[in-house]
Amino acid sequence: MNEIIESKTNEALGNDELLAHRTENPEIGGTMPNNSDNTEQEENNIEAPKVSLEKKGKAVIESSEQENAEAESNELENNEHLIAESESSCESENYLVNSEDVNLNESTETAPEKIKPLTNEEVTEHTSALWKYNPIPENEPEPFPEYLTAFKQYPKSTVIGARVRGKKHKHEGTNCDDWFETANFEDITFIAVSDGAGSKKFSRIGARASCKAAVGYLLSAFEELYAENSGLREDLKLGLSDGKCIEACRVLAEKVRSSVIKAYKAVEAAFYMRKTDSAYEKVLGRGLKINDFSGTLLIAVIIPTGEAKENLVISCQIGDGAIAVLDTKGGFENSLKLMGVPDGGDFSGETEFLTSPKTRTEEALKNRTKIAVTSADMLFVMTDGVADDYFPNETEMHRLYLDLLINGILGENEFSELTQEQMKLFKRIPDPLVYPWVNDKSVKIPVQYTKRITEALGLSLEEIFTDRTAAYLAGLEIKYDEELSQEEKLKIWLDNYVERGSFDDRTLVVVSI
Amino acid sequence: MSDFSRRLPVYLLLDCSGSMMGEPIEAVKQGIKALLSELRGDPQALETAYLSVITFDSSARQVTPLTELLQFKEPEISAGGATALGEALNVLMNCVETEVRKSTETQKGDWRPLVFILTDGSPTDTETFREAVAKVRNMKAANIIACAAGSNANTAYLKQITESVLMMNSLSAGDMAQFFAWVSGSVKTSSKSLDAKPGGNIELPPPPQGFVVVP
Repeated sequence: MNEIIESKTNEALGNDELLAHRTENPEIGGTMPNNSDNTEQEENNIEAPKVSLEKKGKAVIESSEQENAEAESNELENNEHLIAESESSCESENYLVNSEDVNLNESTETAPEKIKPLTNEEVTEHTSALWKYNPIPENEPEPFPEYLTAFKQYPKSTVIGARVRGKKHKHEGTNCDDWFETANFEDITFIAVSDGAGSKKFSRIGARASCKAAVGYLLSAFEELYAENSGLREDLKLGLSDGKCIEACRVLAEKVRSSVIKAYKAVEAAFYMRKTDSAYEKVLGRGLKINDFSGTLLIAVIIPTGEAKENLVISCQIGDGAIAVLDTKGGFENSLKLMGVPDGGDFSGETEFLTSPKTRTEEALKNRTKIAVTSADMLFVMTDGVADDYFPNETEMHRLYLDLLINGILGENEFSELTQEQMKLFKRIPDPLVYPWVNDKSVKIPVQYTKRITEALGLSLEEIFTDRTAAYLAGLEIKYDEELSQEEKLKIWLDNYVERGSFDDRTLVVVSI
Repeated sequence: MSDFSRRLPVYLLLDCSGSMMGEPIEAVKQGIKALLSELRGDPQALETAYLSVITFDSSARQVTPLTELLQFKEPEISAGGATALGEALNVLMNCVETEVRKSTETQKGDWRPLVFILTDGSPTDTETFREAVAKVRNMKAANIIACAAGSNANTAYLKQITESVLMMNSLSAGDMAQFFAWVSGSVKTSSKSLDAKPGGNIELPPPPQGFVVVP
């Protein structure tokens, strides 16, 4: 699908990295800062999601088993206690250090004490009962909604997006820092996603301001551009071997870069508006600074070229998270392209923010702007809360797609009847993992994981991506209420999939193109 | 795909020299117990923090390798001998080198280790200490917090290891308990602020009452 463009066109383009075919150089079109807010995002109250699970005949999960859950958590508390207080009680430690018992029983003192490490699953099973749910504080300025979801049917694309408050923020009763916006101008789709810096209490305000401004600007800028330049659509059709098309790409990329600057200006404006407001000072115990609004910014623009199933994708990424295009219909090889390089340093967790001056220089923005002409049918934009769980992104994005498929968020599982072969395979698929929902421990949500299936069946990611039978079969076990919308399913999945050490806010926008 | 998740390695370097004999060493043991109990109630710490204990007297050794909190067993420790803090630093560097995972193409590395040093005296292996300090400062791969316990502890030596030096007045069980409570608070905070920029100084909770931050 995506081919890397030759270096000479690269030069012509400025420093934009062309992931596909061509470009070059003239002028910037007009700018029209008009922060219209086009996306309708819904604010959702916390409701227990309705998911049910049928496993090989027997219905396993519905919703509340309140008593059980309570009993369980009591048990856990007791265990905690025992571990802390007494060394000798095997019973209490049993499921935590069981391998040790085995060692001791079998080979007495002579064998060196070798503790079998716990699996991540064993640890998350234990911690799932310890995560608390605390609501968003009401006494702080500008509380953000618990959830954001969006569903957009645009002329040439379908967007589903969801954002959930991370377990860390739920545990501590603090706000979610992520935001996202989506909009369209005719057949062109705009996505903006931002993750406010976790170390800053009010970073959410910067995250929201930057997304709204970026998308708002793009909307008006593209509208104006297309009104002024009626040949633009035709130019894009010419293909990247034509100078006019390259020029068109350049002009469009310029707009994307400008949207980043507009986003920053909006963050600045948001800061000045609140600077003298004592409500913020009261929470921080000091005056507000522009860095309090630090956040990442990921922008993706999808422009149909006019050729069937072909799109021009322009992206710009500041900070961590990921933008990826995936061709789900073609082969595994070359089906994935990352449209941004997260700024990760040598140490885990390092990232750049929109508020750092060095990320906004012309040079830096050109390096961060990626252009691709692609036949991919799917685009993902996500914050690091999701991207980190699919690391390294260069090879793991297929797994994200499969996880969405298996958990019923994308695509349909249409098996009217299983062949004997399929039935055999089905039986080898492990049950979904079921953990209590952090918001309400009496609700248990089954989630299936591609990696559990590949492990159990001895398949590689490529194999399960290429022949999706196993994925579809696994999907049979995840059932939602009939009336649940796709974005609602996405929300539930984001809120409930469990990875050890992953408790950040999660935002994922999926565009089918 | 790697099945590892990123860990927050926590190293405790504990002085077990002769002067710690009696109540102080018992208080240290209690402190470790309390630390574990506290951290085991915290899901973030459980999912990220790993604990190791290095003790030093006339020599130094790692008594517990970097271990999952749920599997951590309190080490048997006793007091006696000199204060080989220099050797302890060498053991620490060796452990960090071999135990802490670095970022690779396919795997995100561990978080920067958190190191707590507790001592009630001055290093007796001064030559080794001097060489080790130079290397530790060069390493920069860890956040080190040193705590001088009681009036005989020499903060000037600790200042050579790290900027973050605390002083507690006595070796009493009460002070020791406060120290370990503060350590667990720090581990919890660190496991929460993991998205803060590494390299920069981590923000630890304010030291307990009666403890002085050595300027």
